[in-house]
Amino acid sequence: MTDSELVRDCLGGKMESYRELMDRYRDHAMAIAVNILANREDAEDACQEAFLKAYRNLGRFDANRSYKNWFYALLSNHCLDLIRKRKRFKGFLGSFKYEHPVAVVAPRTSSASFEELDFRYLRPLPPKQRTALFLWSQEGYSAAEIAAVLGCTPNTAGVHLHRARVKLRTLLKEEKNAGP
Amino acid sequence: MPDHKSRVDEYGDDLATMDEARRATISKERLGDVKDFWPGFAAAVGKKGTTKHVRIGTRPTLQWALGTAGLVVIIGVSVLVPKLFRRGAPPAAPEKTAVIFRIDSVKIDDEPAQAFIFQTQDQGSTFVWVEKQL
Repeated sequence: MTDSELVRDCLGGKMESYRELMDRYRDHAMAIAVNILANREDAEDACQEAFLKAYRNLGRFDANRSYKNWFYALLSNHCLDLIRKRKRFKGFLGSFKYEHPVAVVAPRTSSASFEELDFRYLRPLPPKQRTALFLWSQEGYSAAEIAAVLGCTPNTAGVHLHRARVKLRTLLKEEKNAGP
Repeated sequence: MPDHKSRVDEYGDDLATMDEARRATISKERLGDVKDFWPGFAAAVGKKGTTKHVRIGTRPTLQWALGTAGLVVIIGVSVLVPKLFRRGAPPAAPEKTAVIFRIDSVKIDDEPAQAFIFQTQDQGSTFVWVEKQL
């Protein structure tokens, strides 16, 4: 069954069809969210919320377009919103006279830990550049397709991707020069 | 003045290749087992029954804000209440006037979180910022 057929069934009240859609895009969704948020737990929360949001807005989905791109756009917007809100809150924190904490309570590590993901090349990049880099390298998206997800023009998407590639090359060069 | 091709080649040296980008980003294969979102989704949908009434779960930022606000209130109460009581009471021994604030560990969504304790300049207030562990 195609995505559009599943959406149609789902709108007709067949919940199992939405489960099929969720299973189909669960891994893709997690990958895009992890790359944007550079944090696995945040990505899981974002995916959970994005699947609910997508379900609530299924009626707005245009069956002539790609469900995958529509869902990616919704998910990436949700992730970018989370980052913006977090930045605003941190800005509020910065208004305190003492910038540095007087004490730090170290977190207790979880016993059931997953394999550590390597975010060292992603974190220095702005979120939109991370998104463009991920979609281009892992999903084979063109600038026009990246633009559809990011909600910008293909030129702007191209600029995000170009800057991401320049920054990544710089990081790789720095790492190489620093030695083992 | 370099011609267009040499400029493009030169530019290419400054751009990460697709292979480098693949290694720098996280592929879905590298994620391993991905959480099943269906139970959480079904629970949220089941609460309201219809698509129009699906309630998006409390957002993490809101949770942090509420959690932080709650902590600030607790801290405020723990600092101010002893001061109010001391006004009318005879002066206590110095070692008993100190307010001890202690955090052993903090969790957000049942995951270990990092807590930062800030003190304002007048040292009359304490602000606790809690965030998910990166």
